Amino acid sequence: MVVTDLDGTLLSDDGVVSARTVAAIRSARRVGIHVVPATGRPPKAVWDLAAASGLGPLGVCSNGAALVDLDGSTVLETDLLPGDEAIAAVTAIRAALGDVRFATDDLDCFAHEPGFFEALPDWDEKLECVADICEALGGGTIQLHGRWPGLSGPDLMVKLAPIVGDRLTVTTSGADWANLAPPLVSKASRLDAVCARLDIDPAEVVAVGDHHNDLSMLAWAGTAMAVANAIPDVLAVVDRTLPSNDAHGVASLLEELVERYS
Amino acid sequence: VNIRMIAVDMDGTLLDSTDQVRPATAAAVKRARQAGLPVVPVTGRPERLIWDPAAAAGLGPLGVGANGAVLVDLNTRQVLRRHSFSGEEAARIFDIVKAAVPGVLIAVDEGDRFSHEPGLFDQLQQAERGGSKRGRAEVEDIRAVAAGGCLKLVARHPDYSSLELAAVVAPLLQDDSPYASGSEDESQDEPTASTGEAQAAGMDHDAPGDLAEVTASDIAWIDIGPPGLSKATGLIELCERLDVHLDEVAAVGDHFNDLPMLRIVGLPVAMANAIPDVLAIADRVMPSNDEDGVAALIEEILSGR
Repeated sequence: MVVTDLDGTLLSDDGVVSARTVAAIRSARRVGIHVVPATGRPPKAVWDLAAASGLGPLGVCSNGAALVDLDGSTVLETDLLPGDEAIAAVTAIRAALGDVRFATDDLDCFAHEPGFFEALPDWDEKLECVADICEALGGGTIQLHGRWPGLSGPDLMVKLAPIVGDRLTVTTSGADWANLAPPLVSKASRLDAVCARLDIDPAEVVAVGDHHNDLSMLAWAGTAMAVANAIPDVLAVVDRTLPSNDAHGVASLLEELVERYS
Repeated sequence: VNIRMIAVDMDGTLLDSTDQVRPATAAAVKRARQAGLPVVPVTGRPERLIWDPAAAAGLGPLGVGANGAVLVDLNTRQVLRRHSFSGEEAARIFDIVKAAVPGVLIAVDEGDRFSHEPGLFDQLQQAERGGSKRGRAEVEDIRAVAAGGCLKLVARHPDYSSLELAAVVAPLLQDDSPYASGSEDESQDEPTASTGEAQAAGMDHDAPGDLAEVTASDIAWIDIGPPGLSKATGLIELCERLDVHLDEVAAVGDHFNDLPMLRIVGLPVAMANAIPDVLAIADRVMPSNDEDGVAALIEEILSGR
C-alpha cells in the first residue's frame, strides 16, 4: 500500500493530478497496490479527484478525522470534536491571541469567519460565511481552522500549541492556517483503521508527504518518503526523497513498484 | 461497465502483417462509429504515418501518436498537443548514447520529418513502418538536427535486436545513471544517509527524474522519447477531451509499448499474436491481426451493449 498526501505531494502546484500520475495510480491498483490518499481536505473535496485519478479503495480525510470509502463516495468513520469543546477552544485562543479568524469543516459545509480567506477559494465544497464561528460549531466539527492574518501556518501552530495543550491536536499543511483536531487524531491514527480494514501491516506501507501534517504518518509507515519540495522537517525524517510534486515524484515511485510487482 | 470507446494499437493489431487494414476490420470500425463508439488509434507512429491508415480504417475522432507524445485530430489532420524534447535535451541524449554504444545509428523524428544517419536503413532492408519515404532525409550531422528539438530519437544497432538495444540504452538515461545525474564525481557525493526499509527494498537513491523513456516495439530499432510519456498518458489526455472515463475504455494491443495503456483501462485486450507479457495482463484475447482480431473485439462490444 502507498499512502500519499494530496496538496503539495500528489497534486502539482497547479492543483491537478498529471496524466502520468493518473496512469501510475491506475497501473498500481491493477497490480494490487492500494493507493490511499491521506489529506487535510474534507471528504467533499476528495470525491471528484479520487474518481478521476483512480485513488482507493479507502482514504483518510480532514487530517485523520474522517475515514472514507472512495469507491462508494461514503464516509465510514469520523471523529467529531464536540461543539462545547470547540467553542471552549475558540474562546481560549481568542483570549490569548486576540484577532484569530476561524473556520470549521462539517461534512456538508466549510463555514468561515469574515477575513479567514484573503480571496474566496475555488473549492468543490460549499462555503458559508458566519460572523462568529461559534454559531457554526453547535453540532461539533471534524476540523477547526485558525488563521492569524500575516502569520504563516507553522508560526501560528507554535503559538496555538501551548494554549490548547492536550485538549486538541494542532497541525498545519502548507496553507497559511493551522488545523485543530480532537486529541490523538492524526493521519497516522486513521491509517491504523485503514490497515485493519484492508488487512495490511504498517510495515508494508510506503507513505509520502511534504508538510507538518504528514509527520505522524511518516513516522508510522514502514517506509517514509518525501517529495523534493517538502519542508526541512519532513526531509529530515524520510528514508528517501522523490522528485518534486511538479516533477511527478509520486508517479515515479508508483511506476517503480508496478515494474517490480507486475 | 458499459464500454464507450475502443483504443487500438496500429502495428501488429489494427494492421495485418502486410501493414494493411483488412476490409472486415474497416467494416467493423464503421459499425462501431455509426453506433456512436469512438475507435481511436494509440500508436508509436508519429502523425505523418497515422493519417493514411487511420483514414483507411475509419478511425476517429482523435488519436494518440508517438507513444503518447502527440494528440491528433484525425478529421482535420492536425496535432492538438505535442510533448517534445528541447534541443538541449535531445543533444545530450544523442551524446550519451553515441559515447556508450559504439556503432549505434541514430535518427531524429520531428513528427512531420524523419532525419537519419547514413546507414540506418542499409542493413535493415525495410522501409520505415508505414512504407512511406515521404518526409524522410539522410543527414550527415544528425546531432545538429537533434539540437533543434524533436519528438523522439530513434536508435538501431546492426548487431542488436531492439530488445537488446533497449536493455543497453535504457539504463544510460535513467535517473540513477552517472550519465543522467551528471559527472561520476557528483554521483559519489550523493548523500548516503538513507537507511531503513527503503534501502533494504533497493529504493535507496534520490531521484532527479529520468532523462528519457526508452521503448522497444517489434521493429528493429528503439524509440527514445520524453520521460513520463506513454500510451497511457496519451490515452488519458484523449479521454479528457472526449469526456470518457478510463473504466469505459477497451484497449487492444500486442507489444511492450501497449502495456501502459492496457494497465489503466476498464477492458484490456490482447491480440492472439501478442507477446506473453501482454497476454498475461489482458482480460480477453482476440484472434490475430491477420484474422481480423480488432473486428472480433468490436463485434463483441457492440453485441454486449
